[in-house]
Amino acid sequence: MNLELIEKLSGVKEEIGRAMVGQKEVIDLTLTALLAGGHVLLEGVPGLGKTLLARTLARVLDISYNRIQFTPDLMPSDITGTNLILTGRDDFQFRPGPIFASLVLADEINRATPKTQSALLESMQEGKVTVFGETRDLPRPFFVIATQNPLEMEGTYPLPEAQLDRFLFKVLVPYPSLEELREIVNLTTGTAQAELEPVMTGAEILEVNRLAREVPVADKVLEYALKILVSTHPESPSATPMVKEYVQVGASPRGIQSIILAARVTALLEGRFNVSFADVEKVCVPALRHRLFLNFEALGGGINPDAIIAEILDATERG
Amino acid sequence: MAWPQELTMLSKVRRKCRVEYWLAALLLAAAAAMLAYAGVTLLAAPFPALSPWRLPLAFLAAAAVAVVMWRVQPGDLEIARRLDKDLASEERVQTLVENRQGQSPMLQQLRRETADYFRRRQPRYRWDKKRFFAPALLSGAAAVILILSIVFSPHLAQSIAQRREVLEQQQEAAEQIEEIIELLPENPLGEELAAQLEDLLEQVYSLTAPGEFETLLREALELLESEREQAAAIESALEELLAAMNMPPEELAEALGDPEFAAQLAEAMNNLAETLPGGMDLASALKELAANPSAAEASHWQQIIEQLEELDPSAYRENLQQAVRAAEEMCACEENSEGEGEGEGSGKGEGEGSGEGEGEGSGEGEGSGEGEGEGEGGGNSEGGSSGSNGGEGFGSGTADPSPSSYVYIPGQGEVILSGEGEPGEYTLRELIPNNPGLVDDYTEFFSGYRRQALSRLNRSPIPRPLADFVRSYFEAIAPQGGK
Repeated sequence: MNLELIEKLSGVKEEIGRAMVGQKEVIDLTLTALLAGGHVLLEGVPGLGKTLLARTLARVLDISYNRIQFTPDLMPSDITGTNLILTGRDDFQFRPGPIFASLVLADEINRATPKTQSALLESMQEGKVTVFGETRDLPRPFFVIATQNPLEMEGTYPLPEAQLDRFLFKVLVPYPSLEELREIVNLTTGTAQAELEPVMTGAEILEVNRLAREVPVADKVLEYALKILVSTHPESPSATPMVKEYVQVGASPRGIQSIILAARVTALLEGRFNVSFADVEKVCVPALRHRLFLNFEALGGGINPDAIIAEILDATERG
Repeated sequence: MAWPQELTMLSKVRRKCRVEYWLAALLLAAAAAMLAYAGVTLLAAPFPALSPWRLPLAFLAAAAVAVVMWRVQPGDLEIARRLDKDLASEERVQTLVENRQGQSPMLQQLRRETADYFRRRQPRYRWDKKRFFAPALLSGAAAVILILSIVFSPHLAQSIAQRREVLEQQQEAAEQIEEIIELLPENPLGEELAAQLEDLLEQVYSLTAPGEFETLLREALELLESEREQAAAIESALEELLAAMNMPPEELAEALGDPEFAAQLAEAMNNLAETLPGGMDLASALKELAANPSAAEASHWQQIIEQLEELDPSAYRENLQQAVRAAEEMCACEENSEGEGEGEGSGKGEGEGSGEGEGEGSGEGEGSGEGEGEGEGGGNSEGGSSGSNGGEGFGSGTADPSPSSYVYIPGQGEVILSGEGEPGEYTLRELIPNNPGLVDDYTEFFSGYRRQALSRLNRSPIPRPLADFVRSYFEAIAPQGGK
């Protein structure tokens, strides 16, 4: 086994930390999702470093990067690319869209129409793009970081539940602390700019992705994760009071896939070769929060999924 | 399966984990043994045959618990999980144990990493005190139960034996009373007696003390004897009445014109009515007739005569006599009522004597004392004389009575005093020889008192404890040895 690859993972985090101030959890979770082969939905107000994170990741991982600003008039072909008739030629030639990159930043994804959103989300799931009946593979690794603003809801198209399920994590980007703000100011308004060096390659990311799937999970740990997932179902005997009261639909089997895969990567990122209860707990909230569909009582009462998941974690016994 | 080689440094803590389990199991087995011993000890109270099985069953219970604990003892995986929890090894041990057969590069890396991990951190075993809490609590409770069972089982056995004895006595007494009831002749005179005996029969099942059964049976016997005496009185009164009415009813009605005869007949009827049981219609009819005998017509006298002839008290008395004899034979109390008493007494006295004689001889007097705490005795006297014939002497003596010996004698009859004492200085015993009618025999009036009291108890709604108290009282003052 390539142990150097595992060691490189900590180097990736260090290198990203040179450009990003704070947001350690956001970085960890985004990196986890990337190494697990999943996609991330970042939610936070503008200016918290979401674009910088995507750009930094692309640079450190030495992969191709495109940014798509989603707007209401954005068309699917603006993402996927289209066939064009070029001067002097009598046939169509495919012009790839911005989705043809290893790391795609879909900025403010909820501003585009559902049709356009679907074009992106279908590509995320399949890793392929079909234009005029012709299917084309997206580059590997393929990783989408989608962002959305939680405040400006007017003129937006919230992602449907089925589409949200395609994201491995939904990560909330918090405000930086005072110390972090001071560091950000010093870092970005001075003359010195951080020069980032590539630490890994796309091929190595794929290798890590493969290795992560080999990390063993103990029966009791898997059972713990399963119990957590089942507890999100209101009709389950193990459902907590909040689940019964506020959850309309619980997490799908894709939820447990996400938890276990992410927990495996988390173990590797921490230098371990087995999954622990703590790994599962760490990824549960970002892996499940966008998979719980709450009812009107929850929305009216200001109940957020994080509180419900926290209650489930408290109520579920390890092992 | 073998413990993974990479986890050999955990062998010591693994062994301690097993020791901890078996210590808890030992406590549980001890608790089971103690509970089994206590249970069999308690069961042996009603079933003494179980007593020798106490120890074998206790060992059996302990063995059963040991077998169960052996079967459910934690395997390597359970121990691995426990160690992961105690050693905070982030599930490395259980993952490794679960995948001990795997040879993938990732598992090999896991083995190396886990070995390094425990090399860096010396594993120390923490005894799980909570694991011992429930078994220790159970063992303590079992020990307490065992001690209590050992202490109380003799009392329990005794109580059960007493209860059995009481039940047997209840059954026996009930059978005896039922037998007495069956022996009773069918006669209108005996209806009240039968009702009283039925009452006694009902009381049998509420009695608990062995002495009470004897009292109850004696009571039944006394009822029979009383009824026999009553039957004799009825027979006498009836004979008197029938003798007076010995003529045809028409003549009787005419003869009642004679006031003297009417008065004589009324007295005879009243006498009979008095002796008849109070509840009989005939008694009230006789009393009504006695009030104005001349007003009755011949046909009414005819009915009365027929009813009187139906009474047949002589046959009733004879049957009662047989019933009493049979009852006396079956009652254990018979022996007591006619048995001999035992008593001890001592006497001390001083006496003076004088002798007279003719001729030569010697006189000798002797007295003996008996009683309780009373100074009474005979004095010896010797009288010397001279003469050819033998002489005869007698002596008498008196002892100084204590103040507690003085008895107030109520009544207006004359009491003959003898000796040298002044009135008020004689003991009852001194007075009795010269005044035989001064006191009644205790046994006579005791039985009368008791009969009356117990008869009232049977007829009145007196609370059970109070009735028991009255019975106990009469039991306590019952004459002993006819005294």
